[in-house]
Order: sequence, then C-alpha cells, then structure tokens
Amino acid sequence: MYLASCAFVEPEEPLILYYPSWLNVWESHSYNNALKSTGKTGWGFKRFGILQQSYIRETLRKPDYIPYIEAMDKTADAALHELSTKERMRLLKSRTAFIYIDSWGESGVFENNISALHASVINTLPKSVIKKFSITDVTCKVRGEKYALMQAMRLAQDYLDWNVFDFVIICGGYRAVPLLTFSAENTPPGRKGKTFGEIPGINIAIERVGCFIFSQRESRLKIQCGAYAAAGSAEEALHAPDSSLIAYAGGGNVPEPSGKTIDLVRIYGSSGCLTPALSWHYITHRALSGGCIRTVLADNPGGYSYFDTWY
Amino acid sequence: MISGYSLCLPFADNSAQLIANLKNGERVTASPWFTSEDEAVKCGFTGNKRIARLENTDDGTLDLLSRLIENALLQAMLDEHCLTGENVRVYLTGIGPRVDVKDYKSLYDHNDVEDVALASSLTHLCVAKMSQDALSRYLARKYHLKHLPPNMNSTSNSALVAVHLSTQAIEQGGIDLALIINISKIKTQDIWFLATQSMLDTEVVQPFGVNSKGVLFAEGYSVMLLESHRHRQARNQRGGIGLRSAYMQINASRSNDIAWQSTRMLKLITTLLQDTGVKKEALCAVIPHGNGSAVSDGIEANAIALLAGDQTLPVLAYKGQLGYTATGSGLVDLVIGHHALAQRELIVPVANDRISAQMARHVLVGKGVIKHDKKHLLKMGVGVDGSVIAMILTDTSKEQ
Repeated sequence: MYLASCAFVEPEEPLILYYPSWLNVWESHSYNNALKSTGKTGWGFKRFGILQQSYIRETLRKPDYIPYIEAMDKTADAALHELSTKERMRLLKSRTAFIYIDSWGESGVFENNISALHASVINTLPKSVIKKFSITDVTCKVRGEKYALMQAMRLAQDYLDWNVFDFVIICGGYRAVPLLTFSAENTPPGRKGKTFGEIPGINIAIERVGCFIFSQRESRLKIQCGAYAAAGSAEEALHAPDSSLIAYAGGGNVPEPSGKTIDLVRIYGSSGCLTPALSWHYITHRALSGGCIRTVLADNPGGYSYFDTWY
Repeated sequence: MISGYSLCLPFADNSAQLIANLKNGERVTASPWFTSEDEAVKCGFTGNKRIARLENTDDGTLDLLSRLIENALLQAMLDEHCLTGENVRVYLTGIGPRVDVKDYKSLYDHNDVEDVALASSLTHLCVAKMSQDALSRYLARKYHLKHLPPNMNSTSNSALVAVHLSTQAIEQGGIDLALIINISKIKTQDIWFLATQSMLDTEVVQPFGVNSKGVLFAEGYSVMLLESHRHRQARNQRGGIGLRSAYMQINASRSNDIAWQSTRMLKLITTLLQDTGVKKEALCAVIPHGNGSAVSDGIEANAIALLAGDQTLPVLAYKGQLGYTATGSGLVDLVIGHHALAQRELIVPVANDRISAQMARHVLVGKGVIKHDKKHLLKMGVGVDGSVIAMILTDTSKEQ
C-alpha cells in the first residue's frame, strides 16, 4: 500500500523536566523504577494544553485536554489538504475506512474535569474528524500501548489488498500521562535493570497527534507491513536484505545507532504508539530518496514487529 | 460461515447452557456494583447500579480465553495449528484489561507510603494491569500467529465490526479463517459512561418495553470462528450457517436525529436483503440490538416497523433476560441466531415489561419454543459511535 498523505502536530508548549512530588509516593516509585529500567537521569515532557500561568509540575500532570482534541482536527485538516484536489474528492466519495488509535485505550479518565462528550471523543472516536472525512464505511478504535499504529497499519494493508476499501485513514494521538509513561517503561519481573545515569541524558516524551491516509494508488512512500516475529525468531525482522536503513522505534533493546541503524526515540523523543510513524518524518526531513527504511518495534521479551517504507 | 463459537456469561457458562437457560425462561442474576448506596453517591452516581457480573475471572482471564478458543476450535473440528497460517486473522474486540477508576480515585494526586501499603488497589494503576499489547502478544505467542491481534473497539458494535470485517475479508478471498474474541469486563468508568448516556435510568429492563429506559449491563467473554466456504469444502464439511453483512456509519452531525437514523438503518437492511436475494417473508426472525435503551430501541423500532409494513416480523430480543454484554452482545445474539437456524426453532424470551404499542405485534415474548421452516435470520447492531450493522444468517444445508 502507499502512504498518500501524512501529517503530524506536536505541542507548541515547551519541554518541561518533570519529577513526581514526594506527596505522590506511587508515581515517585514508578518514576524511580522507570529510571532504573531506562538507565537515564530524568524525564522531559512536552504536552498539549499546559497552562503557563499555573504551577508547572501540577499543570504538567493535568493539562487542558481541549488543545489535544483540537490538534487532532488540525492534523486531519493538514492530511486532507496535503492530497491533490482530485484525490481529495476521490477520498470523500470512496469506500473509506477510519481507524482511531491511541496509547492507553481510555486516557479520558486521566484528564482533568472531563465532560462525558469529550471523554467519548478521546476514548471512543473523534466525531468531528469522522465528519471531516465524510466517513460512511467502517470505523473503529485500535487500543494498544505501543503496537496500536502498527496493528492499524496491518488492518489497513489487509483490507486495501483485499479490495474491501479504497482508502484507510489512521488518525490518533499519544497522551503522555506521566504515571503511565513511567510504568510503561518498568522492567518486567526477572529482568535486570540498569544503573542510574548509565545512559547519558534524560528520557523525552513528546505528545503528538498524527493522521495518515493509505491507499493502493501509487504515491511517494510505499509501505509493506511485515509479520510478527516472536522472541527467538527475530532474525528475519532485523536482517532484511534490501533494507538500506533500520529505524528502531523503541520498545526493547535498541543497539547503538550506526550508519545502518537509527534510533527514532533518540532523535525525536518517544511518542508511544506514534513513534514508528516518525520514520516518515525522518524521510521527509532528510529529503531521502531511492531507498528503504525498515521500522522495527521491539517488545520486551524479544519479539519484533516491523514495516518497510520505500521512498 | 460460522464454524465454531464459545462463550462464558453471567447467564451461562457455555453455549449449550445458554440455550438451555433461555428455554427454561431463567433470568440473569444482577448484583449491586457498589457496596452501598453511600459509596455510589460518593462516586458521583444518583444511586447504586445493578450489574450482571462474572465472578473470579480477573486472575484467570488468559486461561479462560484459551479455554474458549479451544472450545470454538473443537466445535469447528479444527485444532490450534490451523491458526498459524497467513490465511488467518485473529481480532480481539471489546474493552480488554483495564484499571478501575475506583481503585485510585482520590489517591491519584496525593498518596503517601501508608496509602500505598493500605490501599493496595492503588498499585493496580500501572500499564502492566491495563496492557492490551501484553494480551495481544500472549495470543500471538501461544497460537503462533503470523500477526499480532489488534484490540478493536467500536462501542456496542465492537465484536460485530470485527465479524463484518472478517466476512468481507473471507468473501474477497483474503483469508480462510477469522477468530473473533470479545472481552467485556465492566469497570466503574463504563457505568459512569452509560449513566451519562441515559442507559441506566430504570431498574426495569425490557427491550422495546413501555417503562424501560435502561440496560441490564453484563460482563462476558465470547469467541467466534468464521471460515471460508472453500476451506470447509477442502475438509469435507457440508452445510452450516452462512453470514453476510453490511455496515453504515451514521453521519456525526445527524447522530441525534432518530427519524433519519431509522431510515438509514432501513436502507442498510433493504440493500442487504436485495444483495443476498432474501425476501423479508423468508426471515424466521429478527434479532435487533434491542438492549432496553430508549434511544437505540426507538431507532430500531421505527426501522422494523417500516421494514415490516403490514406484515408481522418475529422479533427476538433477549437482553432483558440474559443481560447486555457490553461490546460483545452481537456475538451472543449470533450464537442464538445460529441455534435458531440450525435447530429450526425460535426460543421465545421472557418479558419484564409490557411491549410498546408500535412493537407489540412483532416482539415475541413468553416462554417456550416455536418451530419454523425458514432458512434466514436478520441480526442488527447499533453503536453509540454511530456504527450500524445488519447481518443475514443463512442455513446453507437447505441449499444442498
């Protein structure tokens, strides 16, 4: 399948170094565990809706959710307008499916004073985006922490290949709720953690929203999703013969970047389920052409998911 | 084709028991969600809510899922090796593992060492306790799947959307087997959401009932295996219940317009009937979404009345009797629909309330079994996300 259009929006708010208050023991405990498992010395967050006039450590935990929802609208607009007028009209009149993704399933419960209407936008489906794309075919939300985008892409590729849909739109976001961000990095039981500061620098979590439109009509980026490689059979994922570059999207043991590998989290910060999509960002920013990137998402006990992008 | 299924509900531990309990006219047992009225009020509700719960499934979810998958495969006379191929997709649906807001309410912002030690529920608040990825990985590893099963959620239609997509994939020759798994575990935030949607307004729950303005929320796990005709033929399986489906997304700007939604639903059903060449007279029954909620029942009642015209369509609505399994009720209805066609009998649900005048001549209530000789059944699904689904089940054994 081809990536017909791709748009990201990230917060204009500054990056804030955050550590939990001693009045929140559970979050502090998760923070310390996460530092041990990542081997870094701190955590920086860039979130939508941080109110500059408020106490910064408090507002970072409870930012306003409206800017996040509005960013989803903006990114959908941007993706739609990146298409040519002819292609846009074709999309609006075709069999178009819509998949909504995020990282925590229902992050609405972690938002501050959220209304039922907005909770359903965040937890279920952003209806204004559905309206924007005039969707009359299948919509669903794919829930997952890190895999959501890759799972949604597999659905898109399958149903485009089988000629069930003409376009599949994947739209979603990553809400960097500190406690969840920390506990997502906790070392699984039985595995050895790292020592504090073993790896220089801090972890960076950046909220992003993205909208990606896939179709079978040829465009600049061609995508092919690979099969899941369970622990012990990861060779296939990591040694693709025609891949010129391997982009790691976090999740597990990422080797030191070299001429053939890049670490998306190190370059752009972590954006949960949207991190793998940053490889398209990388291609655009570096104006790469005539090659292939294999984007690999590792899971903790040693399995891999991947997709290839030819540019 | 529906090749196998398996379920575990508060109403019945398995599909055979489900049918037996329906025939006996039994009702699901509901219990209060909160320990007291005071607790419910403290949590922001007007009063305690009664829910049909599955007991003791938190720790054994993976074992229960495995058992249900194996039972469904057994019914289809397949073994788990059949799931390893590229021609198979497994879809998780529903609301999977999550943390209950009640576990950390009031402690999310401030907690000290004693709080963590004494309110151990607070320690549930971590990704490991709400991980959809972990469940997906577990299934991929256990059954050597080629692809990680995505966890799809489309509110009430979650399982039916996966069934719809799978039938499309099978019709297009993309796959031969689709395994749809539904997990519907209720948390306090779900009850809050239903309360905001006016779906828990009355204790009396009866689809299309005069006094019913609410649902009998129930938990449940279910699994359904769909198989292509060619795959069944290749292993000499004849007959069976076939499935065709159609989907429509209601325009978000018209989501409050009941009359418009009814006509859209009617259009979806008539298009599906035309595409499958089925006349409404050939339907043995209609199983609507019919969960007791005034809004969605109203949409369906209008659509059924318009579809029936002067005739009477037997409507079977079981959710007042066995509960409304959030996100997975569609699979439960398909299991009952499968029985209705395979055994050529309609099980009449017991009623909890008087049926509205508009639907009284269509809705079958009472207790007992009605034999029939028709080979099609219509199933409908409505979700608050605006999804509308229509499905035709067909007994193909009568075609041979």
